[in-house]
Amino acid sequence: MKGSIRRRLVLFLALPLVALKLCDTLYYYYANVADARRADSERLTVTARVLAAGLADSSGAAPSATALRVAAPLMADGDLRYGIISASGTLLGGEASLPTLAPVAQQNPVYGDATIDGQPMRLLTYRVNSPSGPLTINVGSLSRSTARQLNIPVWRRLLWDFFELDMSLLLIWLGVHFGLRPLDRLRREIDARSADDLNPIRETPVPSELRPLLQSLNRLLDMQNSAVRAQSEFVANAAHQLRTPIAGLVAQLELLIADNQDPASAERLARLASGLRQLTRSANQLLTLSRAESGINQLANKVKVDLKDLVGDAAGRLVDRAIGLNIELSADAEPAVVRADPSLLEEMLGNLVDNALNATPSGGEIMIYSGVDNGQPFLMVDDTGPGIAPAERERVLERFYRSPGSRGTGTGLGLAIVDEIVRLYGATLSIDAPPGGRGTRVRILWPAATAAPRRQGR
Amino acid sequence: MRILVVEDNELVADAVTRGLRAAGFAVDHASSAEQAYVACASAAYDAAVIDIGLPGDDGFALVAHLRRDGKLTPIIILTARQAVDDKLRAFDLGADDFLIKPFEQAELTARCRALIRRANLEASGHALIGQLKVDLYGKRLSIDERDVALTASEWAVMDYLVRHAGRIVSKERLMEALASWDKDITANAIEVHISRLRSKLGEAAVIRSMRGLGYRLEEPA
Repeated sequence: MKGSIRRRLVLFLALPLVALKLCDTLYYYYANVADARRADSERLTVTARVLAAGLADSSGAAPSATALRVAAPLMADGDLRYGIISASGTLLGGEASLPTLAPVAQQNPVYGDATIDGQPMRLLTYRVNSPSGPLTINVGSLSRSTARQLNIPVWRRLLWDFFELDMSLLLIWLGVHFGLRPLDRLRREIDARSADDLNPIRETPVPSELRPLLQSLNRLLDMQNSAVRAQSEFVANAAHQLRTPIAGLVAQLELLIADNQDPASAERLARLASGLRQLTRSANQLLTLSRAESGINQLANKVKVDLKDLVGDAAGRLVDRAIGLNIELSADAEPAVVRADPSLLEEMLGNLVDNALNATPSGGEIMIYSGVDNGQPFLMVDDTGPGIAPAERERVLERFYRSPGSRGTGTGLGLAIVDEIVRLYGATLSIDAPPGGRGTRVRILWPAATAAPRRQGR
Repeated sequence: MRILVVEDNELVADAVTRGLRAAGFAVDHASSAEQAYVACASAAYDAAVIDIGLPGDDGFALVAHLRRDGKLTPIIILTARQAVDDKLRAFDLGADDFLIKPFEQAELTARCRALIRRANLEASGHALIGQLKVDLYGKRLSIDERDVALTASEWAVMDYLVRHAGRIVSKERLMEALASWDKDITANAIEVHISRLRSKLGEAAVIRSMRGLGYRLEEPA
């Protein structure tokens, strides 16, 4: 079902109401018209009968004088006109302009309408027998039942009707608006939740119609929640099952290499160690990727992280490798607080700096930045390596993709992990070249709303 | 220096024990928390390396137990799990360091050394960094038995660097550390102190500076 409930309610209430009001108004209008016609007809009838009676009294002598005498008080109204015509067709009194209506069987007087001198007229023709023979009495008056003549009260009534209609519509709209408030409240409450909040929605302040919907929603959330927990548990266990034996192998092999006196096996051991390091890295990265993917961290582990501290920690961990590779590692870190799982951010920045260390030749430089730009927290790593060609920049984010000519040990997962974590927190990642044009600049930009107020102290 | 390794995985335990022995430590191995309780009751250890995933009582319970007994032994937690809560919980219970498997033997050895050095430093005020002999409480600095004289603010900088030897110390932290000596200390003043300290230390120890990050006191390469 499409559309909004509000619109449907307003429509279903307002359309019948408008139709009803329209019928009412039409009825009122036509009733008024009919009333006015009846009143007109009655006036004409009375006038005709009075004239007829007057003519009968005068015994047929000089009907014109008699008619004039009788008609005068009636004509005082102004809009009444009359004509008295003899059987031979001569005008005995009044005006000749009034037409004589054709006789209708069983009807005397006969009523009709006509336009005379551009004026709508109600007409009557009354045939009587007078002492001087049959006479035809025509009476006419301006019609009061036409739209132009119809009296003001009808218009006033119509205006009032429309005002009433508008008010009704407004009241309906208000009623619907206030009636649907619980829906709005619910929508706001759901809107206010972060996308990763899998806790049940509160059920108490919700109308009974919404409760079943809410209960289904909560059941779904609950299922989702336990699925995420199960996966989290699985990843943790898998991590344990993988990491512990790998740790044993690494440590044993290191000892073996340290104790080894035989130059012939030294090279093989070194290869073994390098293979094992690669395995370690892949295992670690796959676990991190699956952790980031399942969004487990969003559940409980989101805390305020100052990117400045993150930069300091990452530099502390990687500075020895940088020194070993003769690469100058420096930073320009300003405070910027985001909400995230610190271990994932560590992994993310670690991967970026790791990539930079792999790409940068001896004597090169790596610079890590953090801060807030236009209210948006950012993290940025520049290196002085060969850079990534614009055509490659999209592809390097794909899993297991490795640029042509990249060095041997990469798993192709590093940037995919970074990208996954970046997306988990609604941030964006961009790859281009630093201002000098040489090297790679990777920048992670959080949306402005995520900037949490800076922690006190430190 | 005596270290207790509590780890149930044979492969890891064997390698860690051998590696630490090769680095010059005396090492005892326990494969459960219960064995560790017994070992701790009968010997004093300078440090303990404890795995979280132990059969029976886990590593958290062991750390809590040791701290309840008033043991101040520095503890490094080993874990294959990467959850933030685990790390926070370990530190809350009184662990001193946290290492995620797989780790490099050299890293573990270095962390053991650092922890023991820090514990000794806190207990006695003495530290040995390269050819540098430091007595923080006696405020004596000597290179090859030859005393080096420092001003009060140089001492404040040196004190902080020694307490955090091997770690990066940001300029802001140094400024905070010096605030008790000189309220209006500037970043430039720190640089001046560092450069004076460098010339006084000569080849005995290195103060590495990293742009935007800070300084690190290191043994000479």
